[in-house]
Amino acid sequence: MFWKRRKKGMRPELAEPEELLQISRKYFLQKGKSYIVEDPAAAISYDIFVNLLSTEVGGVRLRGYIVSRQHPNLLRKHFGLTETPITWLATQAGENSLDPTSLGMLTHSIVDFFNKTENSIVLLDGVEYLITNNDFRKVVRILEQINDAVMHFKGRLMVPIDPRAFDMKELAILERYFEVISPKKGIKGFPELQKFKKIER
Amino acid sequence: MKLKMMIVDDSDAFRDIMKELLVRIGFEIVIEAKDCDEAVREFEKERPDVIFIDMILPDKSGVEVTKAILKIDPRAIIIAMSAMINKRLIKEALSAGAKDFLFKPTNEMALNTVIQMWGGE
Repeated sequence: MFWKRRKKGMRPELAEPEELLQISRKYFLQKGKSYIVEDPAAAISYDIFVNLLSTEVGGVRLRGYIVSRQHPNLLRKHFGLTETPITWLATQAGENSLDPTSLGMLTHSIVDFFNKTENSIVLLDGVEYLITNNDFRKVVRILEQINDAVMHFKGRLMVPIDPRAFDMKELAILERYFEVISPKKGIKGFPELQKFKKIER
Repeated sequence: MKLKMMIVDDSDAFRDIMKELLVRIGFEIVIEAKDCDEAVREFEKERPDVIFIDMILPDKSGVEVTKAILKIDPRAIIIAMSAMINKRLIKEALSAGAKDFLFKPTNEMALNTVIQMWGGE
């Protein structure tokens, strides 16, 4: 597989948990569910991802994997991620990069991560870029396959999208498979929001 | 709701965003400060219930503002904020007495959760 040559810590199947921060869990994503986040800049998606990885509930710690259009070094620096494997979606060849047309390889890396990782979460950031380099139906097909893996292995998947980049029919197709997190709707835009945990201090 | 909120941030734009979010979730009394001195002055005058402090300010760090406010009132509820997740800075803020951390720009969900957790103490 494309990541086999990578050093430890960069391989999705060897993901380690991030360091715990003594902050509270602010979001709740259900096991076995996929979410689209209507979040053009993906800031909320990364906030959710980092918050889930930096906190634990009932002794359970999540391990994450990011696939992104943004460069891994930038993401590591900005979000303080040291252990989470990151694959860069880019035409630039490199050991942590993946060509956006390699949809099979992309699907395999995410499904394999869910298969080998308990309490897992994947952030797939760059779905518009995948559509630009393939076509909508092909991308939906891999999202369906990944969603099957999410349900089967009880993982969690988050896909930030810019709703302006999709027409109504495309959005309706995506919403068929995904729970929708819609921050512009305020608190009501977050499903299952009551399950937060207070840190005792 | 009657809780008083205070935002300490040197960015006018960010204070406006936070104010709008707080008003939208039902908090109408929002005090603003753009630096450490103003924050301390406003805290002494207004005694807000929850204080949101950016960790990077022009005159002193958010950690120093946290310490200065807690020196006046050790029960003050302080939430550290930053546009970058710098684990060292977050730990410093929590050690200084901040209760929690919010990533900037925040959203109604995170803000409401934090206020529900800490605001009612």
